Amino acid sequence: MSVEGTMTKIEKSLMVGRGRWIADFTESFRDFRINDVTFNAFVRGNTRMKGFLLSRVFSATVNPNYSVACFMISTETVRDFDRKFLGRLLQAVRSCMKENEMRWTWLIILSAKSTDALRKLVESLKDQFIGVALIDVDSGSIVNSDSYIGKQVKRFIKI
Amino acid sequence: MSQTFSPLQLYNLFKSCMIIFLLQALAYVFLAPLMSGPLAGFLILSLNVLVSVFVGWRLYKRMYHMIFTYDKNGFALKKGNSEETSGKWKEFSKVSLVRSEQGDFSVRLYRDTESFDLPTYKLKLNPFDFRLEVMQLVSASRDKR
Repeated sequence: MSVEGTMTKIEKSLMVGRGRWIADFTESFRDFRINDVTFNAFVRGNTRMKGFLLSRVFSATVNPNYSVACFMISTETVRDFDRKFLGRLLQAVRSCMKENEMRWTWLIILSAKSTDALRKLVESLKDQFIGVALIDVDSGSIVNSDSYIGKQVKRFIKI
Repeated sequence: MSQTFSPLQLYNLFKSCMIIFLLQALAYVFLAPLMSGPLAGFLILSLNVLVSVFVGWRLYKRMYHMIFTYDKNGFALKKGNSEETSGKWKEFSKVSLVRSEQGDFSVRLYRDTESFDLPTYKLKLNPFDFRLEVMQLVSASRDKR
């Protein structure tokens, strides 16, 4: 499957599939620009689940209503995807989180052929509010950052 | 070249027919003591169904039926007998895909602080593909400006 196809699959999965177990993702943008960085996809939502009467009551009384989001970017659309660029990405995500009062976000990096350096870079990240994951589209493997939010990506996103 | 979509919304058609059917059924409850005879029940039911289909169809066309037309310059959306809403792609700056509480998808067009939703679910359009098409149309018309 192509990177674009995988991105659409993840987008669908977040809005109508497994993603709904972690948050209610309701709106998705493509080519979403923040400062000088353009993300291929940006899906946002909140943690207050919708449903029928009992689910609604349960959600309203137990679940906190946090704004959350998922950013996606393909390495194919970036010339040099290195530590410096990842830093810019995280900075852009943080500024969006601050502006929209988001509690946590996922940053998913899709790559047709991920390198060891990139995998190690993602694994070394420890941000507790931004879960970063690198998805190798060819092999279907997922590498995540060393945080609770990062580990959740593997649980809720299947390629 | 413009494209037009006006699919039949079966759920809304059924809803319109049922509204008329139930209203008539309620009226027959009060009229029942005045009617007797072995065929009365069958005739009443047949008449009720026929009237429900006919009036339900008219109600559906008047309240719910959607006609959506678009080309490279803009779009027009008409719901039932209400006034047609139209817009030019160049008026919009952002496009997104929105899922409602009921699980229906719409393509949302942003114009400054306002937004307008194109109900892809009711128009039986693939929301993911149509969103990309609308993005291209918006982007192309903004480049032309």
